[in-house]
Amino acid sequence: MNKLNFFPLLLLTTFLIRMKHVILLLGLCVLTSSSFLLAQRDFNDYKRLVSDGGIPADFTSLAYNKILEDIKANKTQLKSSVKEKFFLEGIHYTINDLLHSGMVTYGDEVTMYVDQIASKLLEDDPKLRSELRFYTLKSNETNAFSTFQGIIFVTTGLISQLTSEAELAFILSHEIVHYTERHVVETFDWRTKNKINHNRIQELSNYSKEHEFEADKLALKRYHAAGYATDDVMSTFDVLLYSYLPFDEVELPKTYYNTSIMTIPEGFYPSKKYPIKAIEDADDSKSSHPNIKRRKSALNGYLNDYTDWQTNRFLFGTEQFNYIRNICRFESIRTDVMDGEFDDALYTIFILEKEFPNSIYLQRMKAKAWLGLAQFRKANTLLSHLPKTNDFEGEIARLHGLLRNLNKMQTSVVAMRMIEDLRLANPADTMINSIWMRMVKTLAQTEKFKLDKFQEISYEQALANQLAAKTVEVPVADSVVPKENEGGTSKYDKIKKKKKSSSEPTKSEEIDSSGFYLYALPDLLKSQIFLDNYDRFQKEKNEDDDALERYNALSNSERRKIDKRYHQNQLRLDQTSVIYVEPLVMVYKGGSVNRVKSEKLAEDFTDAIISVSNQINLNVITISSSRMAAFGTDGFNERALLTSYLNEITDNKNVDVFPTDFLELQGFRKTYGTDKVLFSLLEHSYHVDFPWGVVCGSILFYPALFAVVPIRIMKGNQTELSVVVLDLDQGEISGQSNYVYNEPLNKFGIKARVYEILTQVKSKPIRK
Amino acid sequence: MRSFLILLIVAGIGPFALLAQNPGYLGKHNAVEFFLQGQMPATANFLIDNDDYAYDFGSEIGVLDGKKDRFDWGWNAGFVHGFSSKFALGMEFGQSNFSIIAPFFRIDNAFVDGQFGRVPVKSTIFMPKLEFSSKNGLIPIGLIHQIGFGIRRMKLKDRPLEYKNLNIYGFPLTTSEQAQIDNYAMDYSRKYKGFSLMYSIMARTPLSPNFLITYGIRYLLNINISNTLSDVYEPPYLSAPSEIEERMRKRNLYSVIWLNFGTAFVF
Repeated sequence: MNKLNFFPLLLLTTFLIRMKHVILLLGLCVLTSSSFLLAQRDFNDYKRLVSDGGIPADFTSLAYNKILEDIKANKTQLKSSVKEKFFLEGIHYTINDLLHSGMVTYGDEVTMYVDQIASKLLEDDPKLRSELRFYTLKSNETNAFSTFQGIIFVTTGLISQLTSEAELAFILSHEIVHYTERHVVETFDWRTKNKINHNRIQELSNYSKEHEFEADKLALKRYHAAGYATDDVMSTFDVLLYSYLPFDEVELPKTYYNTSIMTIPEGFYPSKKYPIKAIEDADDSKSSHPNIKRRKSALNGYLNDYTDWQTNRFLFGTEQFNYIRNICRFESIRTDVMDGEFDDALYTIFILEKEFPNSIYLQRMKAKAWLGLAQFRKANTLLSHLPKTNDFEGEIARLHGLLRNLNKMQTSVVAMRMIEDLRLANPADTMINSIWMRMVKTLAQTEKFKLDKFQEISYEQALANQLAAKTVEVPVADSVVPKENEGGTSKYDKIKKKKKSSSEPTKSEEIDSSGFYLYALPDLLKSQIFLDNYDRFQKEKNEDDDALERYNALSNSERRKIDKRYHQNQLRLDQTSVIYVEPLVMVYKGGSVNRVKSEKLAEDFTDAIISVSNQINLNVITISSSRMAAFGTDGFNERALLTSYLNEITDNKNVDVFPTDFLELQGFRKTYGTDKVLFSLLEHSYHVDFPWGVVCGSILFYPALFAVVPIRIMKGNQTELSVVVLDLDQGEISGQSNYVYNEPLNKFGIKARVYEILTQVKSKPIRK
Repeated sequence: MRSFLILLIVAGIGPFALLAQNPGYLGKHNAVEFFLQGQMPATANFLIDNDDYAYDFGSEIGVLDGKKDRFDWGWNAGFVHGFSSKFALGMEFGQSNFSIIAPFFRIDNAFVDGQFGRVPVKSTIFMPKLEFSSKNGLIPIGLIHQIGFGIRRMKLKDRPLEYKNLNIYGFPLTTSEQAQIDNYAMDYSRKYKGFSLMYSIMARTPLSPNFLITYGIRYLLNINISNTLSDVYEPPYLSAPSEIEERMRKRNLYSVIWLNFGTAFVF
């Protein structure tokens, strides 16, 4: 299937992975549909999807042990032991990384649903059923893939796009074939035998396509035997063809974001519709998958191999499918918001609001998305997140057009307006109130933003007043027209500008419509809470600016002193209790990661945290994948929550990220009595470096070689330990420290560093 | 000891101790260490030994076969206290061994020709030292730079001098002359002094909560203090202390690079 198989596995995991470890066996719970319906979740107060039940061994065993087991069982059947080891290390460590990335869930409703369909497909093959494990991957990629180990991942993005259970069944059946036919190992074997170069890409592509055709063909057998309808085989390909679009095509009204106070002029929306460009007969010459047309055509032939097709689109009920799909759609909003894809999130919210108009979750995500848009605009990074006009497609293009046309000021004010309205509608909601506060801060600290330009009447009132009196002076906005790119004033710029004018916002004859935002906050201008907070944040910014100015005026030595004190205090948190999550260790050898050593040292790191915390009497809650069996599912979920948060911050480091899982993080704080979470990454390599300057100098003055060479060799050990402190209360990184040193890596060395870190965490900041 | 105190003052340990972060190794700041050191004196052999001997006198007088100095070794024991994660002070005491070519012997103003064995020397050093590490150091462990100033004392080892084919102008030595060589050739009680400037780059790697292994390379600039210039002929000794001193000086000067390996106990 398009995108569905093992190649995306390697690609996807490469991009998705941030964290580490483990594997095995889902306990084959074949649940009935009634078991889901007992505990249906409330979409109006949606809670993120979390793992449930006992923790599978896939998540608790070390990759190293799994590799040894597979070698012992000769599972790959590869002839070369070197190749076997290389393959197993690559696959196990990659999958372990994915399993612990915080994006995979087990035992949850979606996983159970997938598991249930798989059981139906494998009714006649209990042995194979016992080998396979299914997990949900929280990703908006439309994807499913099977692994050599017998794990099949299904993304929430895929399920959110489907129209029937039968489509999911066909996809699962396809992935099962990839597993039974050992396509992952075969492809690896082919690649190692055939050195990949430009000419070989075509051959690899053909080889991979053969696997896809085979998987499609053989998938039909189980699909047919389970009793699913023939029509849904073909509709599955439609899902794949249009998977890059939102899960529904609904026209966004140009008045959708208007409120009783704010009217966004229609000219800010694109004036035309943008057609959908996807075609079935796309060029697939270098793709790992055949194009949709070829696959459909091939399958059409195979369909006739089976008789007595049934017509079931849903063996476990439409209601259950819709329920599961809605979970995935809600998850897709969370994923988009965390990934900074606020445009996609807003469009999904727009669609889901029709079905769930009272969902506080959707309102929270809407507030968070608008805050994110304003922050991205402020940081000048929004446009890079939005598709270019030439790439506009489908109904979502209207939203994309609007967001591209709003300038920095306009975006900030529209966001403030939206969040204020959400706050007014939900005055007791902690998260929306916190987002509101962050938005006020963003507004107050936006460059050149001045409240005194704003009017205490609405845009509609201003127009009405002008019509009535014809004498009202209406202020003109700083930015007269929204611009995608700031241009010059040359002849050519003017020509281009004229050419563009037909698609630019229309202007009222009496009032400059681009100044609509100046009328969007009349109620806030009278709100003392807003004004007080606005002043406070602006004062903070001014103080920061002054401090920076004073700093810049200092001499180098004075700056160094300040820098030194600043760095010394980064980890001095004065805490009696902290959470330490997942120390990562990466030992590099010969340009690649020595996974075995890395995994063992990560265990040592966790041991060191536990040992040192006892030694210095600091309460450290350690959540690590290397101890997942002891932490259980609760620990797994907590770790996933925290790693998601860290990823959200690191992915959007240019902005002051507000945590998407704000409420859960608050709950976390209450449970453990601390708001400080530590993450570490330890990297080590041995590399003797001889810069050219040193080489030349030593040749000219050869006795220096006796000093230079040994010193360089001694300094070949290069270790870097990075520590990040997340503040759950503030929703930000409150400290970070980097230790670079030339020492070999062993467990006592790691322990010494852990001691250094944790004693600082316990100590008070140095004040001066 | 006096120099150690001076170093303490110069280094200004007060500010270091009070201001800097000092986690030590798991909270331990002191280390007692013992290490062996060794070197292959190829440079010294090449530059100063036999050639030097033959050139000056144009004869076949030289060292006995198989007596070249192939390897020098020694041991050091020391104590270090870390005042911050980047700075420590310490002191060490050590002994090392090397050998020199025997001096020229004269009897009644006549040179004694022949072949002599090398004369072993024991060198003792007491050295205060300063340790510092780079930005993210964690003294007493990790990669450490040391600078030291040591006082050195050298003595000939009291062992019978080996020789053969002794003669004066081609005539074998008489019994009494032979007895003079045996009894008065060397002054084993004389002490030779000098000082050493040391720079070392070394690593202390922890192997347990209390034990470390240490290894590294050490550069020594050994300078002898001459106090024998007026002792050219000192009856009843046949050898001139100034000649011995000169040989020691040259030998030390070319013994620059030493390798260390040892262990340390931290507390």
